Amino acid sequence: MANYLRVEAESRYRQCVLHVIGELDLITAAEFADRAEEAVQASTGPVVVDLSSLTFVDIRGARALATVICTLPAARRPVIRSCPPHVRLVLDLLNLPLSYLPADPLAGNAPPSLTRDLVDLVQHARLDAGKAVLAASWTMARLTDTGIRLANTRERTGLTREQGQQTLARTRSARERA
Amino acid sequence: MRGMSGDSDAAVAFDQPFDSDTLSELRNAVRSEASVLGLPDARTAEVVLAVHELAANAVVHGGGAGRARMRVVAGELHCQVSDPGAGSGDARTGMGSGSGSGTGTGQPWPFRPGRGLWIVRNVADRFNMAPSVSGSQVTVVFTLPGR
Repeated sequence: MANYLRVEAESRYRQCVLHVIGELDLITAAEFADRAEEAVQASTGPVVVDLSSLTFVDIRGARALATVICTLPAARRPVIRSCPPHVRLVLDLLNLPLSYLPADPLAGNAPPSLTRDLVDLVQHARLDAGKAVLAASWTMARLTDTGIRLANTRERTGLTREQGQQTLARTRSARERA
Repeated sequence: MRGMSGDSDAAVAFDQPFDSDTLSELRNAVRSEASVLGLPDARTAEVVLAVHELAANAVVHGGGAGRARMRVVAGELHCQVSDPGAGSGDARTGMGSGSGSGTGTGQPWPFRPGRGLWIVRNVADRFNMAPSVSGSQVTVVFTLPGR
């Protein structure tokens, strides 16, 4: 049987990058699962699955890919990058719960999925921005509250000082009279 | 489906037997054939996927082997994948030329509404399947770009 699938792992920037090279189909799916499992177990950190050299994937291959990715712990945040259009076609048809890194728009041949990825990214950024605004306004409210309390304290301090000076003046005049 | 049973309609552009060892070769052949016919890359990918999934069904359920044919009929690309059915003696000869040479002992693989056929139906313009006493025969049709 011709062996037309390879899995190569590299550690980069504390990430485990998994290159799936060749053709992933019903024949190579089991071997892929074994190789990918090995590579992932032998490494730590977030997992990036690079599909730029995957020349063909079929339904059984796509399921094997999704199984490897979806059984990883959430802490390893597995994502797919550089997914060619013919691969994305199958993954999208099967509606697999996978995350994709947006393609580099400077990489020349941006896939048609780029727009959707960018929209996703913008929506996430908007959500994050909303959260940040909320956190900021909470901090602002706390700050204003503290300001008010500070002003109160200052006022009370001034009052106390005034009373003290009055008492001192009265004591002084009493002593002079005496 | 018109033109599928009669060989006089159009020249068979492609006729290739396959089994589990030659699925990759089949895909390459289908890919280059589709490119020669002027299909854009995205469409070619769909043709390759459809023919492959049907061939994979034949390998898994239909006796382990089969035959893929492609031909152009009236501006359409017809892809036919047939297999001799599970339990047939010799999978490679089971198909023959569509009639006569089949052993007639194979069981057609079940046309259940599985994902494979759903995907094929999804990418193809038309879809026709014919279980028979001597295996299964599925035809998918893709419209060729206007000329």
